[in-house]
Amino acid sequence: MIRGARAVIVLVLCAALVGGVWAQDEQPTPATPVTSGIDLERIEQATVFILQAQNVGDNLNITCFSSGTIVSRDGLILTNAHSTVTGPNCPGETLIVALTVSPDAPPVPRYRAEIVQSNTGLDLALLRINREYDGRLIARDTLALPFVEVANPSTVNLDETVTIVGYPGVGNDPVAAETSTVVAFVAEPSAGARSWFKASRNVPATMSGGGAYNRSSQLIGIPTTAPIASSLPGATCVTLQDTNRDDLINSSDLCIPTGGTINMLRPSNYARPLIRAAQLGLQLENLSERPAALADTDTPDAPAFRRLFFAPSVNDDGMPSSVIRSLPAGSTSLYLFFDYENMTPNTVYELRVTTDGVPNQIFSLSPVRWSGGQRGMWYIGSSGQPLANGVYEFTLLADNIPLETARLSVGGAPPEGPQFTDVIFGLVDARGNISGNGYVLPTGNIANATFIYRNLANETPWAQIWYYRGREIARTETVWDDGASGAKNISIQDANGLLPGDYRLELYIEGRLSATADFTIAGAFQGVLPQAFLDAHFSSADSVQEAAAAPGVNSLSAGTETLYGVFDWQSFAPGMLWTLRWLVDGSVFYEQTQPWLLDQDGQNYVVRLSNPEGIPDGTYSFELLVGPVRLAQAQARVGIGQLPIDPFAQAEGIQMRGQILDAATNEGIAGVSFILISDLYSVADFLETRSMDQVFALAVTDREGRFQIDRSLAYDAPYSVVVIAEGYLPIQADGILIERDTPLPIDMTIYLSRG
Amino acid sequence: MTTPTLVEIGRQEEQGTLRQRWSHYFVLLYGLLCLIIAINLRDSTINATTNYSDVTSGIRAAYPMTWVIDSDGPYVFRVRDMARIGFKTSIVVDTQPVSLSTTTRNLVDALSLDRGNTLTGYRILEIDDAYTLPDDTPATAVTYTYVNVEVSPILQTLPSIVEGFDVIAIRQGQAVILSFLADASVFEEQRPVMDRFLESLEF
Repeated sequence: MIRGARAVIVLVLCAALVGGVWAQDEQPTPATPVTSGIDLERIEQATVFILQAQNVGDNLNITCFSSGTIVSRDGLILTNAHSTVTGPNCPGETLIVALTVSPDAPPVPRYRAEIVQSNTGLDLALLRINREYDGRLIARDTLALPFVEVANPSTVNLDETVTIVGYPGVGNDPVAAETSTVVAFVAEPSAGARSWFKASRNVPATMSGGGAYNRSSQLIGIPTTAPIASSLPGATCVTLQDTNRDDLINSSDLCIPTGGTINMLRPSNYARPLIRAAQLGLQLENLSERPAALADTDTPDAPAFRRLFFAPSVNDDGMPSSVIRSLPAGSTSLYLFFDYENMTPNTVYELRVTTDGVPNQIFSLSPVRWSGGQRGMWYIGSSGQPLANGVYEFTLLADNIPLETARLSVGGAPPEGPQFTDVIFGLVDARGNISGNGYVLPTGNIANATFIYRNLANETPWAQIWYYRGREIARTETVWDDGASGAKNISIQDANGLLPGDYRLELYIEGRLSATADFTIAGAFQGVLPQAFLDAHFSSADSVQEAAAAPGVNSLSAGTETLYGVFDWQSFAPGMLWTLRWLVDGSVFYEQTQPWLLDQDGQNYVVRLSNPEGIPDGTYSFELLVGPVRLAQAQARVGIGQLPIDPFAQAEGIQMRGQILDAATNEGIAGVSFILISDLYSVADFLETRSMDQVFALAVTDREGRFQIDRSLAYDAPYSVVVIAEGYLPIQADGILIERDTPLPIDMTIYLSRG
Repeated sequence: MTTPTLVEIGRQEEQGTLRQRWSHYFVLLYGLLCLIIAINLRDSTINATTNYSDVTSGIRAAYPMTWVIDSDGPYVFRVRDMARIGFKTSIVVDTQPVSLSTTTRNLVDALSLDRGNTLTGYRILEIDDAYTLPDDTPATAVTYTYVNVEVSPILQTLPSIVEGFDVIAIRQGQAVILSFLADASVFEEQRPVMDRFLESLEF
């Protein structure tokens, strides 16, 4: 504490020497209690309330609301997509941002925003503040807002304390913070083992879109839930306005869906690509993409789930290791697999779990947006979480309608029965060699599957069933004669060659499913990996046609506004899922998995990357993947080949604020300049040149004499300060060091004497 | 009978010497001289300038020495009187490329469209098409006003009314836009600063 006050003492001494008096408040009173040592004040200031509204005639009707978090100084806001992106449930087109001006008061509308990036499946949206509340445009570089840093959620551990911040209501509720712990990691194919963090405490659904923070005040997750449409049974909603202008607020007016509670956090690393692309001003257009035959919002058939089964683990390719009906006592890992159909990004799905009839919040999944495709295989599961003994019942719901249920018992000894596990695939060439990457195989005549078997007795009936695009193409039912345990190869062959597309193998023992896995055949047989994508390269041209014909480039001049990624493809069946991923300096800024909609073979698939102000210098690459397997990539350098350093990207550090008072009257002085000089210069240097190049930050006092430095200060850097106001003696100080144990934020009071 | 002696006591006439007389004159002279020097020093301090030159844009000018300069924004350079309470009186210099057919009035219109979108209550008060710079360069002068709001949404800063004065001139395929901005209450008082700046301007 004594060492911590050293900086303040230096300030006081320096100030006294030049005629002013400067002191830090002895006991700065934080507006809100500090939770677990985190910088809650800064987080609360960076937490915003977002209203989506619709222009109806001369009126603005509120259609949806959510919390949000400012993640950059220039006004990028991270929030949920379901409440901001225009859709059937949230039809508004205007986004209003209300800020926490006072921690104890409701948010105050200050700005309007636009959507710059979104991912409806992951339910994330990135907004940019672009207008004042009255509609005036705001220049991007004039904003200096409080913001938080996005953490690397891979460092989050089970039982770690997190603080969830958001707006708990739509009334007069001020921003609120709830302390919770991470009790489970939920896995899904869309984002792997840490698709969700599960929090121990349920918070109101209006906090959806806010933030969950670690002890370092970094954003680790976004509380996320998607309320079902107010027209569906069981929906919760609130009517706030007389939207039909009949002078009554009743059921005829628009009811805004609210949802119930949340305990799911979407890890913040899924927002990183959105933030990176927005900060760099990059726009990506898929110029060869055909419109999907089935629009997202025009699904003719209702969502459906089928073939529910459980697996004790999932491999790197998202396939179940085996199929189980019970788990032994002490198990810590469980995955529910199922097939799905007719799902869209607007579908709200939910998993309700009971243990011996009692709701189990640990394994349940709150209503969230669907993050997969239209049809396929999916899983929800978790590992590292002990399962209590009992009978577990898993019920899947879509749009609040229960569709399928599966049960599993936990307890007892490990099962001793016969079992198939760990199916992997390969392609056998003419010489009998197996190639392919487990689940992505090149086109050929024979597909080979290898699996492990245990505890099998000879003469046990077993079956293998092969499917191609959901249709059974081969079935073999026989008796086992390979002994008790080992590895076995089986295959499917077609003299005319196996068609490209999605395949599935199911293995049964005595009529019960014991193991299953999917694989994909695509591309030509060449090398270790199938060659589905060819000649991936970058080109620079004035038009799409020229880009397709232009030779590949690997270096472009600084300031290039448009860059094309071009590739050819072969033996890639329509409907197969593929992933396009773009990176800059090794960091992903765009990734989308989608069904292939073009012909099986073709040339010149073109993707355009652009920025009207020039693509920032950096090393850009794009990758083409099927599942987790990267089949092709290209790389090009723009300018110096490295991203410029953003001096304002750091939120961590010291927050400085204070009040400047008249020494005679003790009243705040408005409009006084508080100039913080960079640690590279002194007051003398600054007064000699009077150049803003030497200024680290500049603040001007408000009507009560209060000021706030809009940029975090670094520890142990010797800053200098100049406080000048016409009619007062100036204050100057050099060598202001702030040590790491200084109580934060620094809140100082400066007295100016008339002179 | 004795004749009384009359003793008359009176104030002694001050009969200063010539040296004393000249001393007085010199004191007055010195005082006057000091006053003139002091006024001169004060004016020198207040009106002291620093030279700015930018080879790229071809602009040279002298701005008040105590003002703070920056060139990181969407302008060639900007100087501000950071000591002023409230809105910081500023001079902003910007350049724009123009075509052969572009007139200063076209530039005024473009500026108005842009400012109308970004400044609260932006209103043009006067346009003087016959304005000439001190070096007789023809120009257009625009006087306007708007409401300035500080960007920090956290602080309780009251908006202030700003009066602006633009001088727009075109020379050799380039338009130079010189803007003087001050709180409306001190605009006229501060205006000589802009006049001196224009006198020193070369482009």
